[in-house]
Amino acid sequence: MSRYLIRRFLFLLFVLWVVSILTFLIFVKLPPGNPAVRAAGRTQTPETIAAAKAALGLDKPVWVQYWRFAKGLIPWPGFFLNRQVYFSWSNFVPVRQQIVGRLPVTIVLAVGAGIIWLLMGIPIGVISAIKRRTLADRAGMLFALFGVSAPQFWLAYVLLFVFWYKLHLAPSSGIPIGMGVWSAVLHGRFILPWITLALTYSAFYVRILRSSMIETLDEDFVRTARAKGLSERRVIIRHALRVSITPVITLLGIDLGYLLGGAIIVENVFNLQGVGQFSIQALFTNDFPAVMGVTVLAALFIIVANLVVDVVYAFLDPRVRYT
Amino acid sequence: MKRHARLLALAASIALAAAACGGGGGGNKSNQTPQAGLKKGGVLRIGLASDVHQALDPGREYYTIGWEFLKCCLARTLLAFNFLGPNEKGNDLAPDLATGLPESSSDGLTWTFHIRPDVHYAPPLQNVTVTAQDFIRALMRVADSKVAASYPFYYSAIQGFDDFSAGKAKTISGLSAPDPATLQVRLANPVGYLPYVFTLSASSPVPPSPSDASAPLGVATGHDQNYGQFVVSSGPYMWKGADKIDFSKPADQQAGPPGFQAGKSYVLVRNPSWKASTDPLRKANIDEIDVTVGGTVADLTKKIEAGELDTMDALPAPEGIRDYATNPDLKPFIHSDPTFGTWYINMNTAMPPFDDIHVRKAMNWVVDKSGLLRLVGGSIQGPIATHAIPDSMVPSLKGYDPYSTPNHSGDAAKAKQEMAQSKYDTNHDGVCDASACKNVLMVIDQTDPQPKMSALIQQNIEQIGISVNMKQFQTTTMYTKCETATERVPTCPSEGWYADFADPYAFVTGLFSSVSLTPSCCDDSLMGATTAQLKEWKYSNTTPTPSIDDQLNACVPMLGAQREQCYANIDKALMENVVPWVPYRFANQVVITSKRVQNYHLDASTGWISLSQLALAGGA
Repeated sequence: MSRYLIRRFLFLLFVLWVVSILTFLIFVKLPPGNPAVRAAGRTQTPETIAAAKAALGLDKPVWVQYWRFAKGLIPWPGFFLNRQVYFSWSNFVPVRQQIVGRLPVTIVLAVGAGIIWLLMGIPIGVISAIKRRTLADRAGMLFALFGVSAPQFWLAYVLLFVFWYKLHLAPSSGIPIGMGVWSAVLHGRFILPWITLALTYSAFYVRILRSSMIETLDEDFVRTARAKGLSERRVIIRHALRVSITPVITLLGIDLGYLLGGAIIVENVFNLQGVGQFSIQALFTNDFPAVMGVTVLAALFIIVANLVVDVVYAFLDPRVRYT
Repeated sequence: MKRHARLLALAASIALAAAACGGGGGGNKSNQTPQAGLKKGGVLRIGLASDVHQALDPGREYYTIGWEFLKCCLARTLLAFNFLGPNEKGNDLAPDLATGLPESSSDGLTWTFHIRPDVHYAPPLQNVTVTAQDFIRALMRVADSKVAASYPFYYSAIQGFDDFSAGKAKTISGLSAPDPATLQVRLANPVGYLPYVFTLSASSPVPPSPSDASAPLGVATGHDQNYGQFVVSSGPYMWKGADKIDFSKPADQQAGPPGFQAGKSYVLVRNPSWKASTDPLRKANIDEIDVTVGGTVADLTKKIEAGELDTMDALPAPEGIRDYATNPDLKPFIHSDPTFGTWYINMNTAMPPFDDIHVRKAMNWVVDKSGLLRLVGGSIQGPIATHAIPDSMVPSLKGYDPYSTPNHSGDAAKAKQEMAQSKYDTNHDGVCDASACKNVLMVIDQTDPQPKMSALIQQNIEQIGISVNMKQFQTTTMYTKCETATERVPTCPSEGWYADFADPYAFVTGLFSSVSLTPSCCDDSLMGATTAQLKEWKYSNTTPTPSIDDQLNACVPMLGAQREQCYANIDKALMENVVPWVPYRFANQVVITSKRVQNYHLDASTGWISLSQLALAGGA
């Protein structure tokens, strides 16, 4: 197990390194235009542009420039998202400060939605699998089709229009100034965003779990369990579901990792001031330090989530062994 | 000079398709009569779909809405305006932190300002009064290259300003404070626009540092790019919690106020040091201004209708405009007022086929301006532009239309007559037949309705033989491409330009003077480019482009009616002798407000809602 973890950790570092190279190329070296011109402000002279170039380290060799950027990815005090490099060109505050301030909103959004879509997706997937070709199965698949097909922004607007604007059953978008994240949760400010995410994500889970479960129910060990006289409930939940759920866990890890990097559409439509909203603001204003910070953070979340998922496999599926 | 056009373009375009829907006209001409019985108090709630540009740093902020927060609320200046619309004397200079308009010496080189006594800064510097030295400090900050201020060129005429900026001097020799209540400004050469530059927030006073009286930039020391949150207010409001800022600490250890959450929210509360008796211009009816950043235009519109917000920075979506234009209950809450802006098709005078004046004139004849206005939303968005400088700045130009066509719909016959004289029309049939007219690169804004407008222009100019290769970009990228000489873009039809202040100097200099041929901005038509510059930028035609530098320079020292006439002549020279543009719309600012908002006025000096005049129904 420990050898496996070390190997995965080294792989994590390798992937992060690749991401850092790509991010550096995409956001520092490839964009048309000179970042120094952008940083020099509106009124420029060759001298001010040269000064900005020096301040940004763009007058140094490429490998020095890369190191300046890459050391901001090392999770070590003074290095990680350091303000010398990761300083917003739009808000003029350290990117780390922006991300840290916004992360709680994104975490609450992602985790809350994750819980809801699991609570929706797992039962529907299981019922669809064990009651194949019945009305319940068709209804489950219809739900899945709707969730997969409905664009998130459309669903978000429809929910807002119906439940806030027309029926006044839910609060409007955003978190009022001065209201903390937990208070916002208690005031129902996350309900519609959670539902929007959950409806779209749970649809995938229903389909995956259904097919995985159908496959598992035909396995020998399930037949054996039934032959031993276990109750159908015990067979389904303790044996079949435990094995079938591994692809769901994989997906959950990736989805949560992805969402922690920012649920861009939902955060924007519901004006939740999370990491996703920050990244889109940064993109629109060509705020490259902020975009780089968010990109790398999102990559980190996805990679770590994958690692966690791999470890969790062992506890869920007795057939998995780490070597 | 080109303040905020980009975001306005974005904001406008988001809504514009409303155009056809809302139809022409409409729009409340603002409830401009001050209402009796306005109450003080209440919290004004503003939603910004886009954030301010430079984190509200007075020296750097360059966005309509950012300017309004500074001018209304935080950063008083020596001179100002009455914070009303262009039709309400909003262009007339008025003393603000000065006791009166400045006295000018007979040679126009020395200007003297007397500072209003007993004006105190906001806490934590409530015991500090505004003095002449604070303005010198502000201008030193503008000149400091590390700050990268947005418009230092306006102050270049001050003796020694450029030397200080270049690091050749330790002070600005043209600025002196003979006593704490007197500021003397000595110019290197006379400039008629000088009083106006003391209305800009960059010149707002910067108090001394409480821990280091010798710090040249006072409390702004160390805040080269983020002074916005540390501004010590001289206006009626301050950032919530600003009174807790500890200026005795080094700049990087100072904590910003909780009322300033960059990119998320801004909260302004009353400045206890402010006294109405020392500020005749601002009503300051509202107790608090809450600003949230983010959200979609559609959502913000619904919130205004539902009374959760009072206004926003963008126009509503098309259906929103339609609601406001047709619903009698809502109509009083959509406001449309003239600004100092013009929308135009830019033509690069160094790029074929626009290096030929006959082609540029033919463009002016053939474009269907009323069609463009329809697509953009109708007359609520402003009247058709028949020349460059807005009528609101040079009223004597009203009615001047050198390319008059029936209903402003374009005249293909006249366009062909003009084109026939061009070297690019070899058989002189009025249709360009040279390869230079084929596949001409046209860089446009991708935001609706600009692509539709560009398609109409494309159709129009095909009649004179010009075909285009249209490339769409996000608003900011579009401006960057069009403004960068080395991009060699022949034409850009999605550009807008807004002056920084009511003087025409602020409109024309940045656009048409060769001094604006900087690496990135803003002489997009490349007027006044030399052969050497064109070679450096790799243009195939290196013939120097037309220049009006001499005429521009001649207007600078003039005053009064002579000055207005001088700029009127410049407009005529532009339209008839140079023709770098097809102007098609003088910009109106369109704003919606909630039903709570009373005493709405446009602030001509910023082009947005006059926050200092607003009141809320019922007050608190």
